Amino acid sequence: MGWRAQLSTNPFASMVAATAILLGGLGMVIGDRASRGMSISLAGHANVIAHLWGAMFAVGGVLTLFGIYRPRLTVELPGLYLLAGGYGFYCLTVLTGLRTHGLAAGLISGALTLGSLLKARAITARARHVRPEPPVEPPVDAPAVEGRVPEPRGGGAG
Amino acid sequence: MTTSDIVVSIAQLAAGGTIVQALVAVMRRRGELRQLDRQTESVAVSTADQLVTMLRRELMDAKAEVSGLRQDRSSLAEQVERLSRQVSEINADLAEARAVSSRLHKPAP
Repeated sequence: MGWRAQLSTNPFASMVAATAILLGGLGMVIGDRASRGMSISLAGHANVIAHLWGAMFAVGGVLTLFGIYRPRLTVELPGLYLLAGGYGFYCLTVLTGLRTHGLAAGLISGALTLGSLLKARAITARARHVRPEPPVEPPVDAPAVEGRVPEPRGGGAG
Repeated sequence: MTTSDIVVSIAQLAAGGTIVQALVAVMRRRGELRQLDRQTESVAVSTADQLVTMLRRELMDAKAEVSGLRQDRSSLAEQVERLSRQVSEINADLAEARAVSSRLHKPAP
């Protein structure tokens, strides 16, 4: 499936991951100045934590996007968990730091946290109920390999 | 310790917990997830294969229909030709009959 088809199939997940890359990149580069709520609520050691949060968030976004467009569930699943952690962290710190002023951002990021967790759980449930693969049949020329006449020893060039 | 400190600690724990969860989820079900990826790919391939087969069948049907219609058209053209020949023969007969009848009804001099 081409990227246009994937985008029309997963528009929200794509945008959520792209936003995470953007926000996470900002947090990783400029630290706690990316979010006022975060710098208020994490008073003292805000900068280090904001850098770490940005890195985690951006990595989550990259993994999720890669997992969606590749498509690889083994990459998408950890990306979704990292996204959930990043959005959840942002939600809690913004609500704590800005109180009612951070309600909009907090609610949206909280909803995205729930969405990421739900999708990750759905993927895990699918993996739990996956059909066992049929046993791999031996290749057709297997008997020929077994019955191969051993080469004479010492005859080769080494 | 204020409430906001507690909430921020919870947020940090949650963020750290999801990192651990991301690792654990993949480690625990790596085989199943890979198998799911393979199945998704094979489903996509078989769907494309079915689509191609269906389109090919439709193409063959359409070709058969076109050849049938072409045969019909040629037989109809033949029929039209035959009918027009008959019409011209009948016209000639009619002209001949008219000539005979005009000769018969000509008043005697």
